[in-house]
Amino acid sequence: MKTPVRSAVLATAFLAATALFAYEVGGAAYTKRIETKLLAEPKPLAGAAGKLGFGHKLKVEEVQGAWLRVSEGDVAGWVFAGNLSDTKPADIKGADGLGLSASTTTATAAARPLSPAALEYATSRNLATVRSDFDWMVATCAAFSNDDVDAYLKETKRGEYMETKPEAAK
Amino acid sequence: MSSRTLCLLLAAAVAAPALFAVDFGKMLDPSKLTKALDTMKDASKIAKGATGIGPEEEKTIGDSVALEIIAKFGGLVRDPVAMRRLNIVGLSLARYSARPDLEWRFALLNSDTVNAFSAPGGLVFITRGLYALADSDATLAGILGHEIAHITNRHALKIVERDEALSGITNIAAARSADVRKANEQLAQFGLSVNKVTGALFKGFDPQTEFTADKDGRALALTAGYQPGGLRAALTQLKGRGENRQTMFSSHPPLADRLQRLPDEAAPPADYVAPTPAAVTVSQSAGPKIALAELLPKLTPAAPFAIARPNGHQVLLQSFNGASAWLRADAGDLVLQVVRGSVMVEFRSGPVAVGTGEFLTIAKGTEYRTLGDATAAAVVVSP
Repeated sequence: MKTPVRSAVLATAFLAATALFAYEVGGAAYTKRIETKLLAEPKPLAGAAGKLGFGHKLKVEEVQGAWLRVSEGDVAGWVFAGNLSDTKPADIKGADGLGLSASTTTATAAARPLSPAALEYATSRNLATVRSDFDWMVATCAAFSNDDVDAYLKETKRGEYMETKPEAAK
Repeated sequence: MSSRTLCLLLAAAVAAPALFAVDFGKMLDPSKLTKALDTMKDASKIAKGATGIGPEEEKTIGDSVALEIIAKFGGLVRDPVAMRRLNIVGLSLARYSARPDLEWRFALLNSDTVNAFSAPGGLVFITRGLYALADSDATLAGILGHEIAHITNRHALKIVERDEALSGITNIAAARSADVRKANEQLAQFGLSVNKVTGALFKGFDPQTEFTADKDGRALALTAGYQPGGLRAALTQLKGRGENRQTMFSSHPPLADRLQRLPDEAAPPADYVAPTPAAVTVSQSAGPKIALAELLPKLTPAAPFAIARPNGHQVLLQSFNGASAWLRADAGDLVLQVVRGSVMVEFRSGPVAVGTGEFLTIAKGTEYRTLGDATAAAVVVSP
């Protein structure tokens, strides 16, 4: 049951969060994920309207609270402002030539163990016990999915599940 | 000669003199030439300072730094409940951060000191001592947001951005099969780079970098929908206890300096109550008498024993795992008798030490938390 205190907290959080987003109609926003979904409505569970890759410059067409309607050419849709960046994200490439946009780091890579060079490092530094802790951490963290995070955000009305019209504190 | 080989030769002819001498008479094998060009490409990038630290290299550095952090702070607390909370709150922040696609992981260090660290690649650690202050998810988000900001701003990586030792480190396993001595040298050099990062982490970044992380972390927590004031609440709690630079955020600027730069926001309400671990019910088939001496060796913080339920009350034999979250005796008075070691029970008015054989009543409605380790045990009677 929602208590007056909880409503006031949600309202404070919502107002503080929307004040942070500096997007204006006609301005630019950038995608920062390997894949960003655009939605048909400013709601987290709305249907898909398109998707874009990393580092795309988008035009802000409309602002509704913490949601933006953005476009790039023929692709347009709604996206939670927290899923975009107001500055162009850097796609830094390493000596291996791989940048963020080409990274294979996805949800499926969430259980990646200690990297081979770090493994060599652990051996050279006699960190066998610590390695066991590291492996335990990797295995434990692999159990937490995007769905778990979604469920938490939905339950606590945070992130894209923030109420766009917060109740006044009673 | 293929067009690719011709191109490689031409490219090499242009690039090589500027970098180092290459004997083309010995390098007509296209595969060797490709390899040499790769080396030159790396060297060229380093010489120009244009090479960033890519995702794979960042992971390698981050994993190695994480091992050093875990080693220095007593290992990890293998508490599934705390891990779940840390990671769900942490991931809900990370998804709106500037680098949402990193492999973000959050873990608890087995140390009573109050501190937090981040390793490149998305690894965030907070000590038990700091975690105990997170009596709301908003406060935890404020703490984690600061560490996430260090990673998204690449603060640690900037220390080694132009470090030649990192070149090729991701392929060290392959390098070892070709030349063990060279691979060992490379690993030793890499160790020096890791040392630079851990040195900065344990000594602390410069104050301005920490203030930036405070500001960006607070903004991230707000973006994710947490009530503002979380980080401020944690820092204020610490300041109220009397700042100890040895044990509290020793690698960060003084609390007063950090608080001065954060907006004056109210502390989020304490809304987190750690779930009580599932108790193992002791069989009473042998009669109503229970020998605590037989249960104590089997007792762990994660598995207390339910030893009786007189008149609907619960009698638990439990052990401890550092500081608990702040709790409130809502259902009625609690009584606690320490049967092994000693336990600190902290009230908002101050702490009370309870030794073996001593008995403490916690009055209904009182806020408290317990601090003890696995060597301590107590019988707790609650409504």
